Amino acid sequence: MSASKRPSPSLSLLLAASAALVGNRSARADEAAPPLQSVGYRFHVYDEDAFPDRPVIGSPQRYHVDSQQLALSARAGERETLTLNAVHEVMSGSSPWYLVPGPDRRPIQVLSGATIRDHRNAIDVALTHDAGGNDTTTLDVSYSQERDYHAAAIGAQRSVPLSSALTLGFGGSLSHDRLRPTDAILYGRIERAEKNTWSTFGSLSLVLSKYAVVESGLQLTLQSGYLSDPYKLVTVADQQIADTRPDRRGEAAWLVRYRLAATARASLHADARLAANSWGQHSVTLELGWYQELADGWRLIPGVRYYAQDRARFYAPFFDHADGRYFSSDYRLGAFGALSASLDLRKRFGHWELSAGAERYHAATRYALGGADLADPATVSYSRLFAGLDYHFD
Amino acid sequence: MRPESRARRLWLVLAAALLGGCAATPVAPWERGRLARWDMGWDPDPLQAAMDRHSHFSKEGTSGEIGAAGGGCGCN
Amino acid sequence: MSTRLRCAAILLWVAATALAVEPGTPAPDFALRPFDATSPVRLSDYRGKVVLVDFWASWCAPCRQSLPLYEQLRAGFAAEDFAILAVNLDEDAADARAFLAQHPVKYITLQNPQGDIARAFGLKGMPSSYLIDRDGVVRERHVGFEPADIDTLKREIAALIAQGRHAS
Repeated sequence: MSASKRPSPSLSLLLAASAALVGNRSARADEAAPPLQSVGYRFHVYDEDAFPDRPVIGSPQRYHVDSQQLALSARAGERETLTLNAVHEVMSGSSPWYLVPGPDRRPIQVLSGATIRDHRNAIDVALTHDAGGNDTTTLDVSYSQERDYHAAAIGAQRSVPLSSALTLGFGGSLSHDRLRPTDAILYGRIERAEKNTWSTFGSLSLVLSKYAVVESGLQLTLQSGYLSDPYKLVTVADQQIADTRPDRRGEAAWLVRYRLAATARASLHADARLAANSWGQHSVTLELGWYQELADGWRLIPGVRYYAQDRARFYAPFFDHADGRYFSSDYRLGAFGALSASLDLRKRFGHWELSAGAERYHAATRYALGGADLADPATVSYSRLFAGLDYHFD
Repeated sequence: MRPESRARRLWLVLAAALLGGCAATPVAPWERGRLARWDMGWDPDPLQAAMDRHSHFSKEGTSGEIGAAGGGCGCN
Repeated sequence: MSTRLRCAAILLWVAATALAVEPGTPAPDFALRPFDATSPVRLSDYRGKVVLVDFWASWCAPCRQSLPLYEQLRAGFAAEDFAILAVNLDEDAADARAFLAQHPVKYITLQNPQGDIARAFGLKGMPSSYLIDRDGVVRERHVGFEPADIDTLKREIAALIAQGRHAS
């Protein structure tokens, strides 16, 4: 802890404004802790692989997203911490439109001719109250805005120690999303639509030993409203119709997280998740990370992730007959799996921390849960690069 | 193997590993130095974790995390 | 570890917590080596003085917050019959030395990497402090630390120092 560091005037102003917002509880003059805890900036470049075959219509270039994140964590009272997280993203590229059966019944991708250029702005404000002894309550408000999509969400979560080794966590959130698809009349898309997402979770974490801790949790999510993709079409009996999905979706996810202080300077992270939803999809996710501390403030974090899902009941690359109510050829509802590897390198210089890293996400139908008969050509692999700078006041 | 049975088997293995034996050996308050380390947190870098989740969420058919879910986006 | 052994360990732990040092009971004596000297320091050497025994570790965030404030406390009572004995519980003494080099304190810092003294006091949380009167009896116990606690401590210390003066 250092009492000498003072935030810059503009940060002080921002902090004063946010403190006024939450009603600062008589911050004591003799309080030695600085009000600002950390400030962080990140830049991410996300780039999807181009289509291997020249598509029927449109450019083979897929999504490219440049994201910037700015985060600020500040003490907003004797027991409160305020966290602000702002995101600005610029998206460009073309996205899969629909599939048609080829001469050998292999699906052929049709892309929307237009190259999308859009941006997203999102802000998330969280206030955490620490009642002492690891008993914390967090309230969260967020807003995300795109030209054609607005989402407002609120959430609350609590963490309560049940004994010296066992901690209970629970909470919930509600998101209200509004869609205003572009060129709706021109393409016969829905003009405006809404959807709501309710989510709740419960978890228990247990200290296993001086070196290991495990957490298990269950998350339940219920969505209702317009859950289809307004920009996607699907081939049904040689005709293209709008992507049509049920207006409700329930999802359950069970997670287990394990942390092991493997050596005095390294730790192992192992996360597992099983998920299932009412659209008939199941998935398995396994993630491993190794946090290695090196000399002179350097840190190296390699990680691997395995993800596999099966297909939704109403998914097919194309449909020969119009039986059934729901049709979708969105590859995200199809069967596929993905292997990804990441590497993160960090260096600490006093209060500053510089980080840089990369992720390679390789998706393929052959990794699908339970296998798949037809490969969806839209299944996408991507690469991601990121760099960041953080300042810690403690 | 059918996906359901594979998922069920994994579930059983994880549950057995978690509940195996009696409770864990108690760890005294002063013995938690290793557990208090930055890299022993569930999400040591929440900014990075948020972006990782966002890119996986936008590409995959299922999602879920321990914690309150954030708001939606046009990406999925 | 077998289930029987594990459950025995739990029983031992329960027994140990039952033996926690409560206000009104004599403080267990100890002899520990300071960071900056070789000869051990005994708690009983401070009989006749009001002593604040503070258990801390460099990895504990509220402890890090408390050290500079305890240093102010020491300076404030420098002329009185008062001493602070800070018992460090870092497993690796190097971590504590690095922290003390960055945030030096003038009160006595003792090493107890095995944690046996913490066990003898029956610590319930980190940090924990025990305010001991001139007769070696624990009068106050504080678990956890926040900056506002310093004011409470100042009052308690002043009261105990005054009490001793009346008695003598």
